[in-house]
Amino acid sequence: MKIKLTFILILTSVFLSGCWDLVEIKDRAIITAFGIDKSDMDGKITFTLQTIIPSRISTPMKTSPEMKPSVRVVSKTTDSFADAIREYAKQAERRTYLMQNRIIIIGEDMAKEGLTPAMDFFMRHPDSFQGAWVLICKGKASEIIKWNSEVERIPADFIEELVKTRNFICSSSVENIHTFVNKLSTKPTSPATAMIELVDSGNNETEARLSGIAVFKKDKMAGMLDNLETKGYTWINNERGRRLFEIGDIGKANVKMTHEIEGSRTKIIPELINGKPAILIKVNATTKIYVQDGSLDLDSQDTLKKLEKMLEEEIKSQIEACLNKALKEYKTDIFGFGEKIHRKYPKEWKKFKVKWEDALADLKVITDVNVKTKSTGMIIDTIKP
Amino acid sequence: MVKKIARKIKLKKLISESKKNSDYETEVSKNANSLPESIEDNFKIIQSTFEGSSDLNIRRFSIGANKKKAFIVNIEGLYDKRIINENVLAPLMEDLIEKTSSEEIDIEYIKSYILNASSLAIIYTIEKVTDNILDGSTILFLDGESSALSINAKSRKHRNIDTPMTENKIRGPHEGFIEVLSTNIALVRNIIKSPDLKVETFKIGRQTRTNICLLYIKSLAEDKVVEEVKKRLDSIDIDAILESGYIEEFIEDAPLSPFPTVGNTETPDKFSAKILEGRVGILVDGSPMALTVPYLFIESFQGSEDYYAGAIVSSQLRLIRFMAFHINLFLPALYVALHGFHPNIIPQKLLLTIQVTREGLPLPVIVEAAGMIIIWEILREAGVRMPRPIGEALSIVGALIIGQVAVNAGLVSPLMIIVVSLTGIVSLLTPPLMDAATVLRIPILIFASAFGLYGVIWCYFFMIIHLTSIRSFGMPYMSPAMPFNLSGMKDYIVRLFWWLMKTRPRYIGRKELQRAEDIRMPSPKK
Repeated sequence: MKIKLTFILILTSVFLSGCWDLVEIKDRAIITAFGIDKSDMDGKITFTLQTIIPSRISTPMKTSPEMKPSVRVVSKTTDSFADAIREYAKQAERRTYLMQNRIIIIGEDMAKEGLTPAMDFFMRHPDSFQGAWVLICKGKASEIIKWNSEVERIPADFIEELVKTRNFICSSSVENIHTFVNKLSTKPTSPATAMIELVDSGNNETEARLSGIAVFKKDKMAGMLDNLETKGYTWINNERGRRLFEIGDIGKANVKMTHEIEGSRTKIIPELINGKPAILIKVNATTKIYVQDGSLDLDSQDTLKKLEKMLEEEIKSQIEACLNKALKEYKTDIFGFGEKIHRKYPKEWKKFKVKWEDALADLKVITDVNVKTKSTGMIIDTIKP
Repeated sequence: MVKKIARKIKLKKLISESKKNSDYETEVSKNANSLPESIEDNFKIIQSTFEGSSDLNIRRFSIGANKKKAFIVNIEGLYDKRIINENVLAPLMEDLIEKTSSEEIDIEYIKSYILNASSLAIIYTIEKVTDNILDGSTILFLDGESSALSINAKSRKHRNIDTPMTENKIRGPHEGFIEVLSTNIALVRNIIKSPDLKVETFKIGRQTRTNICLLYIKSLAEDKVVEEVKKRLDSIDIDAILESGYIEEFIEDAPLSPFPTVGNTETPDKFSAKILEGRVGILVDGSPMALTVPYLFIESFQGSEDYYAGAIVSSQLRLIRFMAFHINLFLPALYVALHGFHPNIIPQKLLLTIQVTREGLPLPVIVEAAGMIIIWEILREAGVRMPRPIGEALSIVGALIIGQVAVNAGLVSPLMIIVVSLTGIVSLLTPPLMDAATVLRIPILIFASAFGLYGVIWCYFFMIIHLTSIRSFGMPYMSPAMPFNLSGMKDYIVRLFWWLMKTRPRYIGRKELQRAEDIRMPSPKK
């Protein structure tokens, strides 16, 4: 009896929980990029979906000579998010598949209006991929999604590569849905993510590239950081990439040095000074000399010390520029300072949190940068002709 | 449920077996008649027993000066004509003719002084006589004697010792067992030269009366296991034993399981190695496949060459075999499950490749997978059974039509061909599990297509539960992994160096565990 019962229970757990959502791969339309724009019509939203046309994908077995785009781009204007995929499905012969979607591009207008419904959709949809990159675009998202890359058959792949290389050169800081929503739903913090734009590269060709960072105040975009401030943001956000630093004017004329940051680590330490919150940003970085355009004597420790000092100043100015813009101008906590204080001083935090956003402008932030030159590259002094 | 049914079947079998056995024994004891003294009576008994057998050969003659009546009886083709003529008939008929006193001539006298054949035995019952005649011996009857002389001068036609068909190896002895029991025992004796190697003979099969030999080393094999094997062999009641597979099916622990609980091998070296680890071997007359018990799951992954080639490379090969077993069972199922339910965990580039290859294919992936697996099984079976001359045609059909043309015609995706052929190839790495994999692959595939990865994981769980629940002659099938035994791990996933394996596997027999007194790592003096 007991055996029978366990057997039945096991069987029911197999059959009742079943996943009957079998869909053949050939019946799926794989979405590679998802664009959201505010429509020109009142209160409506325009969705742009980029899906793959498998027969146009070239494989080693089958190469198609002409450079036809391998994707299909469809724009639909609907009332709400709920209709987005449904509206698309009306004209598609295949089931849409969101799980492989790596790129979400949101138009600036839409971002300024608020991203809560969009993020709700992406968090709630069972097929949505939490690692998809969220990018804010200058102008219309649909234009970037319609744009065809000369490099990759699938334009979304190109954008994904862009996002990946910024890890390497640390030119920007991109959040995926998961971290974006995390920051959005944490009380004092606001998200910030990279911006993408299409730039005219001459010869009637356009080029997509990441430039600047969109700063949010809660779910609404407040403004953006320019290049210098973006660099500062990557420092505070502890992005570990290989940045290049160029320093001119080292005391000697006609000397230019370029340093490459090999490794860096940023620590944000909350403190209480006279009962008021303060933040200490500690940056430790190691560098390597990349190019020397001049003839500095790199053998001497003094020179290296001097160079390190200059680098520290440079980094400090970048960080401060970013802090000024975000804290003083936009009054938004994109760095998670509030959360840090909350964690370290939970009791005192109750006092601060009421007027946290107003207090941001007066927040005392101390920056401490420490740079060490690890090597001068493969040679020490420059080549003397 | 399955267990209950199995238990019921077992019980029924046991009852009927015990009934049959008792019947058989009473029959035997009734017929256990001693031989009559008169030669004419003996002659009549033989004639009536073998009535209608035209190959029975009876040669009547007289011995000595006063012409004592005698006859020899044997079956044409089973006896060695030269020995019977030169060493039996000649001395009896020629040497004894001068002998005047016929009183001296009796069976004992002939056995002791006249016949110079090596293997002689005096037998007393009619049953023994018939048994020996059928075995190929020649029986000598003498007037006035209630016993007969059995002369073991058999000549059996058989093939030469050859390389085994099933187990190929690069390194190691290349001879294999043949169909003759005595030769096979001799092959084992050639390897294990110890009086401790015991050989016990059974006769099973009412019609075939097949000789079956139990081989084990008394000081190593667990007594309980030997007793259990004997008990199970005794309880077999069947009309014919044509191959060791008959025995295997009767003594198996888990007859309904697809996994083997009795091992088989065709090579004397592997057979000896198993016996030397404390297992019991069974040789069956007429079959080159020897059986070894207890048989554990891990033995399917141990090749005999593992122990001849280096430990390091063998360990690596064994890891590959483990991987192969999993690929063999689960690759098509995983492909179908990932394809149908979880394309999210396939990298995007790979997913696109899959999607491109499946573009415009008419069949759903499960039908394609099941179909290709069945085609593979058909090709494999045909490859085994086909007459040699057709081989070439078959391989052309197999390789070209199925492989190339089916893809070009857009019937099957090339990825599916890769998946199925890989599955087929890896099944050859673990030959003992080939049958189990063949049986289980399709149900796992069906589960995968209905429930996705979830179904595959269920199948894996059920398989593990099943494997850990069965035993082979008292030994847990999954030992030494379950129950865990650290010293057994030396020869499990990896095979350690011989000088590290100082003890025999504890889970097979606990008698005399030490392999030798002093096994050491070689350290030559510099």
